[in-house]
Amino acid sequence: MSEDERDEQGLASGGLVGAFTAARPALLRYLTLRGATADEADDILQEVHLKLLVEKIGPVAEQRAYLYRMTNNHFLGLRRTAGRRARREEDWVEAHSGQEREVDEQPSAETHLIAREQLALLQRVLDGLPDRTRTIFRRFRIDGEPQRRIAEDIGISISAVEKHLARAYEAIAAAKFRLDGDGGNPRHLRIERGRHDI
Amino acid sequence: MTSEAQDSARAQAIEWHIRLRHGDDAAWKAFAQWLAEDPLHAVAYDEIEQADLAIEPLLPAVSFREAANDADIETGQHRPRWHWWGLGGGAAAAAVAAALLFVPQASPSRYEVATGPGQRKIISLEPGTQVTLNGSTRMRFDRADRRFASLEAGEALFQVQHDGAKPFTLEVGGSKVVDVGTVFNVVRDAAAVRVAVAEGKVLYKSGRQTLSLDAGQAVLDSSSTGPLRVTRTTIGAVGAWQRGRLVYSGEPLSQVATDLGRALGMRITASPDIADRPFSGAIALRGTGPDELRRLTPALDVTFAQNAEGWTMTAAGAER
Repeated sequence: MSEDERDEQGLASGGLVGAFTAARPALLRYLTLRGATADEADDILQEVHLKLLVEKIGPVAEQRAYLYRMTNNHFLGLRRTAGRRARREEDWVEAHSGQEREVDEQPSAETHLIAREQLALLQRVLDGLPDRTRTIFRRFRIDGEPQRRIAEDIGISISAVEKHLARAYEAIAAAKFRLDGDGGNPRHLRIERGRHDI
Repeated sequence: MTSEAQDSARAQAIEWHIRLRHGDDAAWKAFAQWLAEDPLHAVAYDEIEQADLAIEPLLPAVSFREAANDADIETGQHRPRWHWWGLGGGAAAAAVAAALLFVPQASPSRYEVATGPGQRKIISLEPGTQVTLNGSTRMRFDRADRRFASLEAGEALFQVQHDGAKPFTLEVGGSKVVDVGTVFNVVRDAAAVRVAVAEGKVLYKSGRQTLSLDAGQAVLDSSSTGPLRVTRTTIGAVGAWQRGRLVYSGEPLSQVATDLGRALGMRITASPDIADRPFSGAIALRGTGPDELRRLTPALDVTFAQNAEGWTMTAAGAER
């Protein structure tokens, strides 16, 4: 690639393509650490690269962070697709082995029931948090406010905000474990499917 | 593998998960380093990341009980539940919201409707009366009183059926907008409340003053003291955002930045040196995100740069 071409590409996506080339080894290492196979990691990085070339993404301040986040999103997307494919194959086997089973193209009554249970569980978890923790969690997770702004607004330190958030996430993670533990993944997987396939 | 080590890994994974949401280059680099330290770390991180993904479709349907002395001082009433109906998650959220209908609720009559960045939502209150919420907007309604609404933050366009016996009342902070049968647009941000009337007539009642606004008039009520300022507004421009257009005649760039941010779902601020620069013209929004900002750059004669807090609008040529 000539200097000119490189410049053009660099301009086309705010220098991100160049940054990607430089960051590629680090991103590959990151994917490996997250548990992606070498093939998966290659696919993911190729997708990211392509996306950077096609989409003209405006100037980005923290380029590495941006690339890591993008790579992570693609990694999660790949995982989700893989999980779904595995489940579909499982369904196919079940359907062809004469076992009775609902067709799950539409969210079934059961899916609704599970969604309702999950919702009630999350509601309980959130209701169980101290008021301030809950408010901070809402502002962070739903409103997308950075920790610093929440801290300044409430008049506490950033690390105090992080402690509140950690507490909320602890409770959420703990609830999830219980759900996984009480008799089975199929229930959990069913809602996952409802979530992504609709 | 001791459970103590697991607990510690989980606590650290949670810290990382929180930090990375708005993490900079250094944070990600350090995170990769942490993952490399111990295979247990990747396992712990997967768990918290998956847990967070799993609650994503549920969040729009969850009620956030309010902190006693937070965010709800204006109403002065005890509202134990605060309903949060976002639009995030699309159809999946709709499925969950449908499921929510079956959930027995203590039903307070007031409830909250919110839109995420870049989202829109139309609320039909009664025949002939509807409210269109722009992105990043929070409103409060009352199931028992459909002629009431409160704009907590953001922007909304009101099309109101006139009822002389029961005027429609909108609360905006300490002020009220009372319609006399009309179409009007209201913006509430940290600095000011702006009301613009397209049709009919409204009364704007602030703590200091009551004004009658006719079609084609607008009022700017800034948090700093000073008299209310009534200005002319182009009727066609009121609520034009609903049709993907932003129309200006000499409004400051700071306002353009806020409006754009709301429409595109980004946090955009104008740098101080150009915040007061007047802008006239119509902006037709076609896309979203950074692409759209790039497209608008020549029309606005500015440059956009991203930082940790979002995007900053600076004078063209001042950056890079």
